[in-house]
Amino acid sequence: MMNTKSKDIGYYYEKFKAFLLVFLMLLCMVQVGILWSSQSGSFPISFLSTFFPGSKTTTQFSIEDSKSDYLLPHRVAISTGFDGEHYIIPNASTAYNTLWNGAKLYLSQALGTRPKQTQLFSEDAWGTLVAKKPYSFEFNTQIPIDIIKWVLNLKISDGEGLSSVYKIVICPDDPDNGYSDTLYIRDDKYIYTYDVPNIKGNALSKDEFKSIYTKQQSNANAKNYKMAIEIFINSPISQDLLLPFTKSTERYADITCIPFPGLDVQTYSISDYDEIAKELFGQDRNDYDPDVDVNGSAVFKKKDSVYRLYKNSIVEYKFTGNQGTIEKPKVLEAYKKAIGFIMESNFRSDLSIYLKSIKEGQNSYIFNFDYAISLGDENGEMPILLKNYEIPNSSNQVDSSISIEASSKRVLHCEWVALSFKVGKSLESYDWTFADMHAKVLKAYTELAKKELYAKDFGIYYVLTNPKIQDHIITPSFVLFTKDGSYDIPMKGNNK
Amino acid sequence: MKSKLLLFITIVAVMLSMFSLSALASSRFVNITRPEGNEVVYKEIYSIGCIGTYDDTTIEFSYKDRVTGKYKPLLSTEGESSFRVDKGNFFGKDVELKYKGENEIRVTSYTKSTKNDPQESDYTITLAEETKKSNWFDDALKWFKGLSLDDKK
Repeated sequence: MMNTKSKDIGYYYEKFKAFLLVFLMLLCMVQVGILWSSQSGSFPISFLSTFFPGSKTTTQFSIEDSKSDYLLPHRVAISTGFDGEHYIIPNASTAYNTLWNGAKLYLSQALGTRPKQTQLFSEDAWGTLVAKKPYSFEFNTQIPIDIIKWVLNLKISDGEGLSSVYKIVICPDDPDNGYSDTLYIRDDKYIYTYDVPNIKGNALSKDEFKSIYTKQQSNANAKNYKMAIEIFINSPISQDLLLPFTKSTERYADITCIPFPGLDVQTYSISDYDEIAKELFGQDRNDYDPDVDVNGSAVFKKKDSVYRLYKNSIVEYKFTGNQGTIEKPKVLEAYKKAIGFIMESNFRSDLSIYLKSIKEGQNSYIFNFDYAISLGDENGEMPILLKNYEIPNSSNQVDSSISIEASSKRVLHCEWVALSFKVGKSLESYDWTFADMHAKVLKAYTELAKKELYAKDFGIYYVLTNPKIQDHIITPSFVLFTKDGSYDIPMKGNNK
Repeated sequence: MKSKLLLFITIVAVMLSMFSLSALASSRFVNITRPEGNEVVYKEIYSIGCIGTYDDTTIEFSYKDRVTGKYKPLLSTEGESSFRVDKGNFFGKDVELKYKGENEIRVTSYTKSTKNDPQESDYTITLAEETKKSNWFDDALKWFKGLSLDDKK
């Protein structure tokens, strides 16, 4: 009897040991997973979803879902022909989305083929195309073809012979190309012509053009501009620029710039740290150890990363872990890491973000993004430009709303202007012409008289200058971009 | 020997003055970018554009009256015919063409010191009937209105 009982105990004891072993093995895997995840700078629980092949991690899912939100042309225009009417379509408006969706269809189909013709880029040739053809789309910078292909879900083999896309012109039934539906792409060296047969659906059709054109014609706030090549031929100005030639009356709101909350104190208390951490990290705030640096900036540390919040609302992130083997970065992988970082961030405001530039470093890429603030569907968006904005107690200038340095594996460094904005309810009228504002810039910046001035671009921006701790109001400015930099002049409202 | 030297100096002086005069004549007070030359257009509103090459330059537009044969001020659509432009400034105005067919347009420019010797540039801008061949946009309008050739059939 006693023997049977001890046998039973031994049996259960063995079972318990086996269970414990399995449990410890699982725990071990969890530990490895946590370490793995924290090394890659993502959330510690994200690795769990890899055990379920059918599911995607939150980040991957979000990136796939929202990747096209970060590839937006900063200027979309329609034209009735050379010397005709040219309208800039307000960004983020219904018409803008309709046209850009149509353009993406054209791009997707065109990049599956080889260009029919490739010609060297010239200002005149491109300016004439933009003026003559009905639809044009312009990015702020050259977008590498790998990023375009990823966003448009194209095959690896697509886009052969093309390194990047900067500007696009589309002409259905193009009389200059045998009445084929035609797409023109410009990069820094060439203009590529693509035939786009059998375009799906109604994209960029003639009735779509007519509908948008009629709406623009009847809109009192529409921007009916001239093309530089029509008036200032062979002049020191980018020939595809659209400009108000005669007096244009436009209405813009003032905006209130609201700094990151909780910065207006001399020394941070525990509850201040907690509030800031809540803003920065949300539910993950307990993962970070708060501190303060010698300059009074709040610092939050984790095992392999440091966040620093400066008094002028700049949030800086630094990866402090081991980078592992250093290899030549891939632009698409680095870009994915950069936009993944933006999407995961708690402190992003509800603003549109436009990719401004991409710089290649030795082991990383730097992606610079700018904010644009919505003034309402009909009024579109206004971009925000940073001027003399710098990291406190350093000479580091911050010239983009978000600047992210990333390798193929992770985000290494980020500077983020964590401000929020409130759009004023009333709109102020501004009368202006390009010539008048250009003349004012020359008068205000006397050093320009000595330079060979080439107008690369211009626009109306909200210029963020002196960083302030309190809320402050910003009015629109005219900004001229040359090869050397940007020059801004505040606009004068008709009732100010 | 002395007379040879005098002759040499005289020749050099004459040559120099000839070169400097031609150089002065070729430097324009404004660089007219539109019109580039004589043009045929289809709209009554025409745009004139230029870039200033000297400070404080005055620009005037005029047209040749068909009846009197004399040049008269040509007003911009904003109601002015005389403008001021500085070096490096872009300048442009819309004008309304006076006649169907040929319009003789003159752009006059001068600085304060050359008011009595202005530079004049003459152009013939022909306002043609709207019989130009159809473009993409015209087709779009016809298509929308159901007026395309196919529909007519």
